[in-house]
Amino acid sequence: MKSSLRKKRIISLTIKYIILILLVFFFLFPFLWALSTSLKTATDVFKWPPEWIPKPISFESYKYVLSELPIFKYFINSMIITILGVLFNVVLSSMAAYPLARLEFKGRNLIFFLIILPMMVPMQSTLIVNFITILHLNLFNSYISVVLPTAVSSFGIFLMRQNYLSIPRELEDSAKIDGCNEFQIWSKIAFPLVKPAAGALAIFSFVAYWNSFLWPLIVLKDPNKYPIQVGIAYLNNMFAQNYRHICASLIIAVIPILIFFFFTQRYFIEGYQGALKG
Amino acid sequence: MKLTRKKQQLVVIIAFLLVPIILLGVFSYYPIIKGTILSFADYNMLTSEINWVGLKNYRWLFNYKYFYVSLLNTLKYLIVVPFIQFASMGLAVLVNQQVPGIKIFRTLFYVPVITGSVIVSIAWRWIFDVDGILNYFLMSLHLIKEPIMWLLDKNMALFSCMFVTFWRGLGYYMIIYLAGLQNIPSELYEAASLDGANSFKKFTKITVPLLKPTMLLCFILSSMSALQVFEEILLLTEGKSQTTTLMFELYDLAFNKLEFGKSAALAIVLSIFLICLTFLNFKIFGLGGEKEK
Repeated sequence: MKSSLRKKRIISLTIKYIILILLVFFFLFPFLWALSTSLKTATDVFKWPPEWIPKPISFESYKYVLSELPIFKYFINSMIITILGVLFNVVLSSMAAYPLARLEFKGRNLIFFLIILPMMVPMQSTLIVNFITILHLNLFNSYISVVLPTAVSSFGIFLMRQNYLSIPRELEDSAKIDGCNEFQIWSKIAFPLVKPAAGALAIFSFVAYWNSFLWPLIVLKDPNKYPIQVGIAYLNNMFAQNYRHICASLIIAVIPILIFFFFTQRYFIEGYQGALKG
Repeated sequence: MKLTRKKQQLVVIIAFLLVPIILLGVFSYYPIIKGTILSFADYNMLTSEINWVGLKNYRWLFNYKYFYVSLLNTLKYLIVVPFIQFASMGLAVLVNQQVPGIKIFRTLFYVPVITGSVIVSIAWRWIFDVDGILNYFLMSLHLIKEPIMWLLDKNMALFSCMFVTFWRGLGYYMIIYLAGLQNIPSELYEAASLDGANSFKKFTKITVPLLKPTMLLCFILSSMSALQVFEEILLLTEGKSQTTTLMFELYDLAFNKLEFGKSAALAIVLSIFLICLTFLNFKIFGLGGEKEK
């Protein structure tokens, strides 16, 4: 009886692992195929039937891509833009949401409504005019122009406000008795309590900024300022059909992302959990 | 100097809200107003001159062949939404199992999300190549006789783009659903087990209803991004082979053809679609608290 139960468990576990491993292949195979292509010699790339493991293995394309192309520069640019964007989003949302949730003042609900309303308006309708505005502000081709239009996140303010609302009044009152001024109530009591939500917001904006493509493509002109998504698209255009070099640059672009993700992945998954609880 | 509580609060209110309000005004409200005006005008980039032309841009748009092609494609793109949602919900249930090493699998499934749309689109373009691995694979399995022109065939190209959108979206929504699943208290399942409910019943009576807010969020997010699809189109087909979408046309009109007025008119049309869709999603999922059928 007991051993048959164990057998059942082992069988169901095996089936689960087989499904999971097949799925891993499904999700990773474009990268594996790019890796394989990037290690081929120029003649082997179009060999038919295609081979998974190239022989001989050639590092030519990597040598070329690393010596000629600024992929690490793109990576750094992406980092700068993403960090700027995340900072703006988190700081501005954490601040703006606080008075909207905890302080009484005239027109509070109206202001909150006006802040939330842009969530309904798609980014497309603002694209053209924002481009013109950036030109007029003389910010064209600067990192700051990439993040400025999305620096205030309606969603972020909404999320943070929900979290501020859940803080009990008593904490605030006892802080007042302890002699905290209004700013300290925020910095010492309220903000530390909503840090998990701020973390979740940071993750959301990280993914959004890291993946952003269209807006940086529009407001950056100098290829030395391109973030990785725009830079890779640019190289892809330059190489036209040279898949070996394209694949090598893809792999080089993916490696730092994977290393970064490996160390931070815990926050990604927990971040969403925190956000949905709010 | 000590300020009264009321004055301190006023300082906090102004200091915390001023910058966000100014930025929203400049980059959200001003563009909506100015964009609407531009859609009724011709705009000259160099002189910033605005010439009122009435409905000319809209009339042009409704006579423009690619407006209808791109409109139809954009609507077709919505087909991807239910597929993505059900598949990622299934994935979330799968990776919510208590299996040793499950966290590694979750991480690996998320890799396409974190690498970004451009990188994955380019990787897929190479797979979709006429002489590419996908055709080779299908031919060696004798599923097809002739290589398929995945990205060049007018009947196929849009679906190939949709597949890439589907593939790269799965991990993203999987994580959101997973978070939703893990927020369901386990006591509910235990109580249901005591009442003799099987796992199917538990899924339909506990998981689905409690996951509804998450589903609403995910349906809105994925239908919004389906209607705004751009990267896949630009990088896989460059809008050729009948794959152009409203977003692609909008970009092309404004930033390649410098037709800001026409592009602004298109933006208005697209925005109306997006707003309608969001309302529709709210209606379907009934945040008003109606019961599902």
